[in-house]
Amino acid sequence: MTGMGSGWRRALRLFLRPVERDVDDELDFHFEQRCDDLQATGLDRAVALAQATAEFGARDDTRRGLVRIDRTHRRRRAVLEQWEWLVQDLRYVLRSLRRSPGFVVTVVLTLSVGLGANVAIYSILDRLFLAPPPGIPNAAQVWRLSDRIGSHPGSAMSNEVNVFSTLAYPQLQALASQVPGIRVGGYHSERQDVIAAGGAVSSTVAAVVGDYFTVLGTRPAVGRLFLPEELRVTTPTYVAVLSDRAWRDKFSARRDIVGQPIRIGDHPYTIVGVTAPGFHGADNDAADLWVPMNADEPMGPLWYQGAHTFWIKTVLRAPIGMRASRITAMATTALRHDGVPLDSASTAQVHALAGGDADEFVSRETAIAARLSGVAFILLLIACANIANLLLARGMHRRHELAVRTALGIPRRRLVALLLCESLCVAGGGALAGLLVAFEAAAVLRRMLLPDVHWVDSTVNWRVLLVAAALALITGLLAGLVPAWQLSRPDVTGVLKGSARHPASGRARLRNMLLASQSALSVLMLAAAGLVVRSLESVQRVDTGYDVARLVQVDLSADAAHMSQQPDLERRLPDIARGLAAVPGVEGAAVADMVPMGGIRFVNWYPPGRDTTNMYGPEGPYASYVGSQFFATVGMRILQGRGIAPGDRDDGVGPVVVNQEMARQLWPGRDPLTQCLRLEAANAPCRPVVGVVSNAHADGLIESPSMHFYLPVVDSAGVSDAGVILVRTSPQLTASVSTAIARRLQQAMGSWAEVRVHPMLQNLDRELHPWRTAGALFVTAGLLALIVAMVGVYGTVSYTFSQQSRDIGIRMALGAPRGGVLGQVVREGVRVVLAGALVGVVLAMIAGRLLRSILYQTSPFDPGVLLAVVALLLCMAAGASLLPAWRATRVDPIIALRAE
Amino acid sequence: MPTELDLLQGTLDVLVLRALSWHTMHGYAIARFIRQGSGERFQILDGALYTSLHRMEAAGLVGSEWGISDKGKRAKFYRLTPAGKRALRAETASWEEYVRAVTGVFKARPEPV
Repeated sequence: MTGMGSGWRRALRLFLRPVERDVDDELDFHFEQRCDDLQATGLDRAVALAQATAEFGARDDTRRGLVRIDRTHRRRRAVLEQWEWLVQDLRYVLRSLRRSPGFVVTVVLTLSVGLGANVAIYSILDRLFLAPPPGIPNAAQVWRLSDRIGSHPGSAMSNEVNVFSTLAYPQLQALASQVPGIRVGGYHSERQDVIAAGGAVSSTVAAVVGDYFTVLGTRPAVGRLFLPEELRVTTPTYVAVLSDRAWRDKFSARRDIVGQPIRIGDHPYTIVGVTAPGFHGADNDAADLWVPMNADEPMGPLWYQGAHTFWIKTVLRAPIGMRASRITAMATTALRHDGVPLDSASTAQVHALAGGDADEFVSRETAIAARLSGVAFILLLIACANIANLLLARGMHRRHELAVRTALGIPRRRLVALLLCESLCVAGGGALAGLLVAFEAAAVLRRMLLPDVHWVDSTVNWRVLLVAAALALITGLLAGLVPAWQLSRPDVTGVLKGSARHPASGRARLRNMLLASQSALSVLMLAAAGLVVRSLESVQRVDTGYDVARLVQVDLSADAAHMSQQPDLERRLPDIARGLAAVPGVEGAAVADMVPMGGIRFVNWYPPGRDTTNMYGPEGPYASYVGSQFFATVGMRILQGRGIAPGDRDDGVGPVVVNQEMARQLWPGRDPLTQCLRLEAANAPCRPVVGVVSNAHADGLIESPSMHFYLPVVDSAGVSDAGVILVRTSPQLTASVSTAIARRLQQAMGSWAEVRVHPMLQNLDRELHPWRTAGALFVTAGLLALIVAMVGVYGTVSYTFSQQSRDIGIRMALGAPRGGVLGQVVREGVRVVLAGALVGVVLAMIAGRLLRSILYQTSPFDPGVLLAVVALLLCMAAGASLLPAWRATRVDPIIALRAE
Repeated sequence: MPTELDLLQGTLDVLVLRALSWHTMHGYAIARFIRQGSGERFQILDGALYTSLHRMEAAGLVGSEWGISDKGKRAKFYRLTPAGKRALRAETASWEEYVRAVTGVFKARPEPV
């Protein structure tokens, strides 16, 4: 160490020499010379000095001046030199990188995956959680309101708390009239066919009520928004406002748009205006046009009276400075006094507009997106470790060059800067490639994760670009700093003498540590992927209580020109169902008010001898109206008594069938067939329970057993109120039977009827979608991590071999069996990976709980998954190290010995 | 007795550059060169000469390094940088122009009106 750097120390000494000393030396030299010359002409020493001084002028003033000039100059030159160094370093780095394209490609590819995944996932999270929808001024004052309903304290039901992002209209009215200072607006969005001059376009139509546009603060760009009388709920008004985007895309931005007629569903509407550019409503799912809620009546003509019909999303604008807690308190008071039976368990909840609506916020897809961001970050960490390792290995090959530079007197901090410059350069390249990946990946992620959202803005915005740049910088520093520090301290004498065959043991330890941490993080990622796949399997195995695979759903409706025939058509459904039994492959058919798991319905109920106040809510009891043969058709078992028979009527005294869960909760230990239920009113006749059926899901794929009762679909007048036909087919025949039924019905009904037939399994696809997506994304991420980690193993082992080729050569020359030599080095690599993997298992067990919310009936500590993951990693590591090992032992010992 | 001439500010810089255009010199050698070149007629203060040197060094017209003088002493030697050479060429050209113009006027006779 003593020999090193004497050069740069000299440079430093010169550099640090005070300016004054130089100036004094220079002036002393001048006076000495002048005096000598003058004395040579015969002058006396004292006289000569006097003359030299006179010739010079004010020496002290001059000296001060010179020192000042030199000082400024030196300072400026120091700054300039830094820049020159930087330019030099950059030039050097680019030149040396051009010479090793393999290294650059590996690093840029690794980084583009790591950075791309992070940027893509960030761009989704940015939209979901961080940014309010565009075009809403002072969005911080705008809140979404949802109704949080907990179980009643006295109820026997679980403690589940449900958040409903929709309210009933009377609740909205209560909020608007009882909470001072706030403006309240409501909306309900649906995709509908909008028919304009150009033809029909499927568009998102938002029906709005109250101060919707005032709350969101948008202004008309053309024409006007709705007038108060147009928004009056009791009188339908058929006017529409277009979004700026729809106006440009679908109406070529024509100026005479106001007054143009369009059709939405069955009604002609008149366009009255266009909103300001950028505005597309309160959701990420962009609205194309708005209509007054009174005109759009999906909930029936008296929708504004329905205290149980929760379907309106609510937004409110509060005065500046009003706190969320205060809004919540006032809104809760209003909700509890609106006469809705659920009132005492209701608590208002407000969310910032930026958080997405409550559905988006709590949805499985959003939870997955949030978890994925963690996964993406771990992927980036693995990429960092890998690049650090590659940089180290590259540095080892260059240690001769680095030693020479050190010997030439280049300060260590300049070497560090040089090496950092290199890692930042490749990180920059990786970031550019990563942005390209992110553009595509973000679009794919949006489609996969949130397929129903109609996105209008670009996936990459300036915030995303900023995040990408920051990540690249962090990556470059993270991956480059440690190798740079290590490499900038080469063993100069050893390297230059050619005796430093083995790298310093500290460096080997560093490389092993990097390899081990890569293995640990890979185990973490693979374990997460394994758990998500396990959970997907559980979801696919869920027993809904129906024979879903054998069920076909048949919907019939009259087309727009024959709407008057719709009620008649619905009355005929039981007859049509009976007719379908003759179709080959059909084993049974039945009618019901709704398709199973297609929606829930409540009917007020009063079991004798029990206080039922608030005894219904998110856990039921749900009610269904079904025809005869319904249970046999859908595959539910009758456990006791009978099902709904052909003669049963919903006439106020008719029979009721309950499910097992209801019988268990209401009449434990008693015979349910001796019980009865009062429905609709507390003083109604008590209807006899005639049967108990097996539990089946009411609302979807994932739910716990809930109370459910079944009533006859035929009313006292003998008229059916069914809405759908369900057909049970022979196994494996659902697809062909669907086609046969569709053809037969269309022929029988004529062209005015719209016949839609599809296997019921398709209904579950939408619910399965997020689970499948999570599986696909987590597995992809896990495999990427595995590949990156294996590149690390391969690199490390090949490097070890290139260092030990001499030893291996000697041992082979001495007759050591190839297998033994091979085994030893492979064992070394696998040992490091195993150590890392064990740490990874511990990490996975700690981090597993974070996944709990996106797992279904899968323990985050699944030992099978962890074992499989470790085994997979070890096999891959053995493979990745065998390849270079095998190559090394193939080398002729003589060549290996000569090479050194 | 030689006549003493006052030097215009800026002219000294040109003379220094001219001196260095021959070869590298230390400050004292430059002073001697100018004194002798002008036949001892330019009475410049040596302090001004050094100020000019340091100023031009800061401006990048001359560079410097420490070396050993012909008498074996440590001395600061100055040399012309490429920028200094360019400046000297430009100054020389404009000086010659000036001299030609002044000489022309001196030699001219008024034409009859």
